[in-house]
Amino acid sequence: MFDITTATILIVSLLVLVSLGVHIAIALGMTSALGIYFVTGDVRVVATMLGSTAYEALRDYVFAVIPLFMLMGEFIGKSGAVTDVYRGINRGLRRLPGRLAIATVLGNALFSFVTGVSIASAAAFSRIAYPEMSRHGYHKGFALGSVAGSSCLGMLIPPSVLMIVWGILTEKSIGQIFLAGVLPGLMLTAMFVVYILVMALLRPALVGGGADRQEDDRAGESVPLRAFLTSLTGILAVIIAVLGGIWFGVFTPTEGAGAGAFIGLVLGLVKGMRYRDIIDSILSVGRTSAPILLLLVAASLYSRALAMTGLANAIQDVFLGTGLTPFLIIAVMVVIWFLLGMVIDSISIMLLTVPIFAPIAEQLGYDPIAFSIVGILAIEAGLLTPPFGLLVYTVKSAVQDDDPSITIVQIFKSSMPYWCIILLAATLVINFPQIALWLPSLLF
Amino acid sequence: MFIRAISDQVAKFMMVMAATWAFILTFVIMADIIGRGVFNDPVQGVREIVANSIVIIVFLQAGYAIRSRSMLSADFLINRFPPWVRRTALAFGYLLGVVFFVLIIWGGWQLAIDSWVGGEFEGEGALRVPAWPTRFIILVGSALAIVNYLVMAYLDVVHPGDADGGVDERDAAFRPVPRR
Repeated sequence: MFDITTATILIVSLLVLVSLGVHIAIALGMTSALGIYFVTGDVRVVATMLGSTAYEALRDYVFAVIPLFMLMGEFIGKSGAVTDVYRGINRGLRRLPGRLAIATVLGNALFSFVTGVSIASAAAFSRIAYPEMSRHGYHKGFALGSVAGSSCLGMLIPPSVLMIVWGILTEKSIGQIFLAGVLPGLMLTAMFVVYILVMALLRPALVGGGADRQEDDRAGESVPLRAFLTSLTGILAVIIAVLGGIWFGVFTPTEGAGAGAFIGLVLGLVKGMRYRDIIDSILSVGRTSAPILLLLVAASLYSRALAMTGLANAIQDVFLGTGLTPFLIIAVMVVIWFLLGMVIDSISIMLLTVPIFAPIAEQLGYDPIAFSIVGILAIEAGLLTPPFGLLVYTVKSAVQDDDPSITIVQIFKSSMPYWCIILLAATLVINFPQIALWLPSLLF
Repeated sequence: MFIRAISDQVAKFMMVMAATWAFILTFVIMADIIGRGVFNDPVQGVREIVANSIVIIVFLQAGYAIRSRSMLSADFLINRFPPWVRRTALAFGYLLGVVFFVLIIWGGWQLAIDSWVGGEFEGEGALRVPAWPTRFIILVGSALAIVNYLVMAYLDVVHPGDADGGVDERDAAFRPVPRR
């Protein structure tokens, strides 16, 4: 079936369509349709295949996790629980240099256990944490860099939309990938904290010369103990019920997501969320989940086309035939992810590359679960890289009204250390897959 | 434009319906969990209902996703092009979108009719879910997707008030949402 001309035509047309700004789902779908046409030579067969894929691709219990986890994150995000917890952590860290930045990292880490997307964290913490840091004389770039950098944790700590999509694409257990992400996520959190501590000690001017440590409580900064405890309990309840339920086999991922959305709603109601906020959350999930699910329809068609045309095997042969060492092959993949991460969004990157890369890694003898964590780290780092690092733009637009003087370049510059740390973490997981695999090995 | 206003209303209505439906799934799943955990009596057919619901939700939301510019795309290159190149590229992209959904309708039509006539069911056990409603909603959703691609083509290609095309839209719901 496979010949080099067909392959070239397909790859080139996919790249051209994507760079022309054609919707990725359409670019993937139409390229796949073209590939199926090359193989079968009959437009009617192509149409039937599209028609049946539209029905079959998403008709599975597991796909409900995407809107439901988004709903959970949306409810908890709107409830104000995150602000309470950030302020509480902040108080607890009273004596640490750079405590506001460290609280941002820790708050983000905790928040990412209840949300599946990074962009929500970036927007929330730009509004919660940045004003505090700015008031205490932090270097503006440094402050926003810590917000943008630590928002990456949202995708690296379960539940994460990227992990769900990866699990769906490779037909691996989503619960297992979730569990594998915990230690690398915590490791990354620790690395971020160490980086901030070191910077705060070496260049105290970056963190306002320690002004944040001497000052007494201000009204705006303190949080009533009760509110803090309610919020913390709520967030911990979600983590324990949802992730614990999935890991100990009580829940399927879909049930966990349903329960999480329900607890999130209850927490929101307790914290004073009202009718309007609930409607807003539901509609915002409607807006953001549909494009992702439509992409998955196209992805299903794409994987059929990859199999039918033999393209996947051909690319695998190219990779394996180069005679590079396994580490170098994976390094090449990471570089490709970085490059793609500069220009397109994380989920699209995964749909384009994972069906091809994951089998290669498996053939190299690399553990598929550990590989998923490496891939997500690499793809996520793309959100911080110029020229299109999405998180940086989110941070910029979130602080636009308060402080228009901040430039994109400034935020990019201060995010670079975080990018390097993520790269380091990815390298660590490539070389020591146990970091990812230790927890799953205990439970599965 | 009158047709555009109607199409926008329909797209928005479908989106709200589908989003509410997704929200209701939370309770369906909760009922199943509680039924199974507390009364040892899971709700019949929840898996089938949820599975079919997701397909229906997505296709009901397709039109809105297109219209509200939420569909994921890479605009890094195209924003640097001169307006006429940009417009041509957009027109081409929207045309491909139309073709894609036309193919889905073409291929799905016969399958939907067969499933209705033949009484196709999914799932086993006490509660079996008929397949035809889902299959027909895919056709409806795809048709709406086509209409919305045409509306977008009208806004961005035929009648671009400015280079950004369509930024004058007053309805907050149609402002682009941030990409993830």
